[in-house]
Amino acid sequence: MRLSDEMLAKIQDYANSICGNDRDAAQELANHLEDEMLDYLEGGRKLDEEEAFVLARAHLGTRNEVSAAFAEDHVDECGATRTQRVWVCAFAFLIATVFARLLPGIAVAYDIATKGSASSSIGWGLFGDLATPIASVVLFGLLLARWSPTVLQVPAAAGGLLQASRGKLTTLVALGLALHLAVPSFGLSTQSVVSIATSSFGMILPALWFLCGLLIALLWLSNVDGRRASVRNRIRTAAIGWAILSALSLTSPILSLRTSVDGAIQTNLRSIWDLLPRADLDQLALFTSAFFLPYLAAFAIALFVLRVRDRRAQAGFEIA
Amino acid sequence: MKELIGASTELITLGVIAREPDYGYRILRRVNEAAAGVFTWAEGTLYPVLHKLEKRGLVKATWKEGESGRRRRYYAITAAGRVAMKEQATQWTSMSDIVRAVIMPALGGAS
Repeated sequence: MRLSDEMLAKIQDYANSICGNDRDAAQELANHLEDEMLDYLEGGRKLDEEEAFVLARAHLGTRNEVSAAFAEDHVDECGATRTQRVWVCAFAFLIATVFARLLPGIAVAYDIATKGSASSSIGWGLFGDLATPIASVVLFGLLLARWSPTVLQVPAAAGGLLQASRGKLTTLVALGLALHLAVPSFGLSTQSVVSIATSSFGMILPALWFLCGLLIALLWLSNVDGRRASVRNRIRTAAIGWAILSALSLTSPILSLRTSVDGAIQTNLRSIWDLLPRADLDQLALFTSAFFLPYLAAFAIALFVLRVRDRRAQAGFEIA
Repeated sequence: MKELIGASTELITLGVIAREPDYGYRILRRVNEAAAGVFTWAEGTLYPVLHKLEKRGLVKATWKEGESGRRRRYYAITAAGRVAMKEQATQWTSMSDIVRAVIMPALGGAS
């Protein structure tokens, strides 16, 4: 007896969604499902292929359980501990940020020394704004290429959504980083007495704040310690952690600093307070929406999609 | 019981493979037959265990054509695997003796 080609393809897709890039493991799992289904179909039970598939999947264990077990298998492949990963990521981003932010700072110093003003350094400021995310994206890509089985292994992803799109997720996170660092610099530098584009020191801390948020999200989504939290709880925790860090960065003088044109260092909140009376409200609204809404929307969409997929997956197993 | 099953998965897997090299599905069937309903494994979790054993050099995996003509990944125990199995079996036996010595008198049975 042989299963239909359509069913064999379906089995392979299911196995791929669990094992991700590990093709040998996916083939092995597909073979397992095929064997089990043939046992059901040849064993005298009145089942069709679809019913046998549902039964075989149910006996295999839930997709989340099995993919979590495979992910732990890959975690062992990586010699780096979570602490090492965090330190290397943080250090790499810090280097990228410092490097890119030093460029406009050097340009300002050069302008002042040669022309007596910093007017022509805006171009360098924009270059620095672009260089930061680009350098970060490159570093991020290199880090993930080295540690892709562990850093972005998303074993408990409901419906296999995140697991099946690890590469896309990586790109989205990197783009998010690029947007996040680029948008506020472009927005404020054109309308404020507070100079962000020319401040090397002032932008490092907010960048680190973003990095912390990113790492929280990645760590919780990646199951590096084999935690058994559901995807929903991981995303919720990441979102809450990020929100707390955001709140701290707005209020704490330690976490978020700006350097004004007269060289004084002030908190982000004070900068916004100074800026408000003279700001163009349309620009401020644009800045705020560009700053926060994409993240809120991304979390909301991710939660919604995961919840829908989770329910569908559970419904599939309930039938069994 | 769940914790005990989890802790013994590696040893049981090694034991089954030590008797005869086999592929995943058949290993599971043999384990379930031996367990006789006392426990059942979540089938999908066997493969990560096999892969870990392979990485540690305790089993060796080879793709071969099975009886049905389909390619299957066969696992065979290695010399290091036999040593590890013996060590783990000794630990289990020792632990079992300790538990029996402590618990049985408390339950009023023979130690």
